[in-house]
Amino acid sequence: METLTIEWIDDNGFVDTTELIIDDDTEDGDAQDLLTAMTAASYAKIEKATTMDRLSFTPTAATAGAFDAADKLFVPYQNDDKQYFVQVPAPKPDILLDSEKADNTDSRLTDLDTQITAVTAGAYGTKMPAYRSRRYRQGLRK
Amino acid sequence: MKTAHFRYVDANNRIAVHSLQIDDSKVASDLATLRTKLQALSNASLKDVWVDEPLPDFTDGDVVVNGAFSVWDKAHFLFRAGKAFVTLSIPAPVVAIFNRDETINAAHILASAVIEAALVVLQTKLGVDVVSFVRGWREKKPGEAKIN
Repeated sequence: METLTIEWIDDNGFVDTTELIIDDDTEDGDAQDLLTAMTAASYAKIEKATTMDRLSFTPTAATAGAFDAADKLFVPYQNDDKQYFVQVPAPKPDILLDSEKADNTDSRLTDLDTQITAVTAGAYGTKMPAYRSRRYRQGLRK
Repeated sequence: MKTAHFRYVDANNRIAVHSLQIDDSKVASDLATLRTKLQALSNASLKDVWVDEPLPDFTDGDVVVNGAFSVWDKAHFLFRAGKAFVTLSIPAPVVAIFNRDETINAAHILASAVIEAALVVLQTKLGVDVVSFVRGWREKKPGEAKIN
């Protein structure tokens, strides 16, 4: 199964989001048929319809201890006047030079940079020095 | 650009979710290497990676130019799926699909088309297919809509 997210907008510019669980064995055309029927029954317009695809993999277990997902390594990117941030929660201590700075020559960070450039097709621009931030302490408890 | 979502959980069950804007040509499997690189830097467990994929062949609908029609006004279609129920909601519904008491007229051509299409694809969160339409009604209560 997968989640179909539908974003609606009415003539006043108000938006609403509908989420539905759909059978991922059905054809895309079947989901399209549902959207067509829903649009016909509404005065609003469907502006965007997306499904969420999940990457299949076996997760690595978290390292036991006081490592906190609210403690983050920020990897900033700059493309002209736009900034983007890649975040790594609970960063491994050996990537850090001191309490706030990362070792930007570490191969794990340069490998990450290569992959970020690949998946964004360079849209994030140039990697800037990574740093640690503990400002965001409100991690959500499961 | 589309969005990839990464969900981490640390050993104390704290959760962090982070999103990246990725190129339109990339799919979930294109993120496999990035996932391993992110995991190599973190003591938390990277549990899930999701990618928003635009539905193929989807074309925008048309908005009816009339300020009186609002997404706060909704038609709810209730379906049965085994012992569970699934609700499909349509904002700013066409008024012709309602009976005089503001229940949905399942025999109306627009409502029946929604029901027919929904019975093909809808499921519960546990993956149980919907099997029948139960009833439908109108709700005019303001919701969580926001100005775009």
